[in-house]
Amino acid sequence: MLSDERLADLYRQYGPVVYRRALAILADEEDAREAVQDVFLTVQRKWSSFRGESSPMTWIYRVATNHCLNRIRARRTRARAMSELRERESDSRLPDPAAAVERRELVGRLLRHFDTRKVQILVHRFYDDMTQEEIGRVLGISERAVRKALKKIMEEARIQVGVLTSTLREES
Amino acid sequence: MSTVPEHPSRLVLDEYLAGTLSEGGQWVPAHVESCEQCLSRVRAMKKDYDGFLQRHPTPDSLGLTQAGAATTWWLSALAAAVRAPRSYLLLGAGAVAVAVCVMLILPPPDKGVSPPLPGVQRTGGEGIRMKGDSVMELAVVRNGKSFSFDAQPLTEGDILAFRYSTDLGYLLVVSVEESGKFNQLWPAAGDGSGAIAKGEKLELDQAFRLDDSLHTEFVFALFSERPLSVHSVGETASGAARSLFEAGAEDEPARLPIDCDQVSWKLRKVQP
Repeated sequence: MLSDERLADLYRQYGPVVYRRALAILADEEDAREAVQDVFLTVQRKWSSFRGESSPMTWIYRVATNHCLNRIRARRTRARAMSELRERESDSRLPDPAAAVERRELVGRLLRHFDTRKVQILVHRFYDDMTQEEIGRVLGISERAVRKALKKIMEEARIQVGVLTSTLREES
Repeated sequence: MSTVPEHPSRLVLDEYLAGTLSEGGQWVPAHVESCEQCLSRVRAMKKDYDGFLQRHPTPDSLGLTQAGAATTWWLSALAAAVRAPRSYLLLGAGAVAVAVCVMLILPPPDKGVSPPLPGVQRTGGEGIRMKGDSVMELAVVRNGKSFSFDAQPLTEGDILAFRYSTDLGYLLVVSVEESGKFNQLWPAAGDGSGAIAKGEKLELDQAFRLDDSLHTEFVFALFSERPLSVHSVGETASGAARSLFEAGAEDEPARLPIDCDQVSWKLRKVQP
């Protein structure tokens, strides 16, 4: 277990990173603050399992991303997101509330179609602009595994688009 | 061999700002200095980070650590468990359950229902596992402190309290052990799901205290529009037990092949 002093050091160094990341994924300030606290409770609890094979930054990225995806998975996305959008239309703290809610909805929809690991890869690839090597570093898997997973995700996405298209054709 | 991308990713820019760039990132400082786009990103990140630390210089300053509203919801669950007249009947059912089930109905405390709350903590999202639109949160109360369940090992005497959000009118909470043994947890009796109020963040009218048996089991909260049959859920759960325990993907919530909103947890009990 981490000492309070060490935890405070880690918080000062990585807390803002976690917050910015949580705000980007969750698009909600209160949720993001809660996520920071939750992530640091996790860090405190699991620090002994962090073996230094990756940098603390990559490890905390993984913990934070996983936590935010779990939060979104647990949200009742669409209806609530739309009502929040109406409430927050005048909220100037987020640069574009509509885009933020859309992003969270998109992540929510992805989570309905793909498992958490695949959505993590998508977030790292398309939100973080990470290379496959970097994604592998964060997730603790090989670059080859990332490449294979991305290929599989794209294939699955094509299949789902195909199913959707044929359903629409049948309905029309 | 890795190739150098056109611009550094967020991760690399974060490492750059934190001064923790790896050897492979030696090209980044020169790039940031010469790339207007990256320089502007780094400046924006730095401004955000400084602003956040000014507003919240310590974890405590987030205002969530001590007995926040979200922390203490389990208290009313305990109070409801004690207040509800039928919980005394359930206590009888709990006594039967001692022999067969990992969970016991929480007996009424000796004095009142408001234990002190020293150092209550919360961990939020990871105590929530779900599939579908309904949400169920699981809080563990141990020695007067509470935390959201996050796959931590549990011990005898831990108290489990549940809170849910749903648009569906029926709930059935069950557990299944590796042997296929099935336990009905809520409602404690009857042959179907119990009717529940619809809404956000409602406490289940019953909390559970863990007994001294040591094993691992899956607990499922099944939300549905119509009552589910305990018998058929039991058959399905017992049949799925082996595949549930063999599945390795801890990131994914376990799910029974039943068409309803599901929330699940894998509970592992160890010696205190």
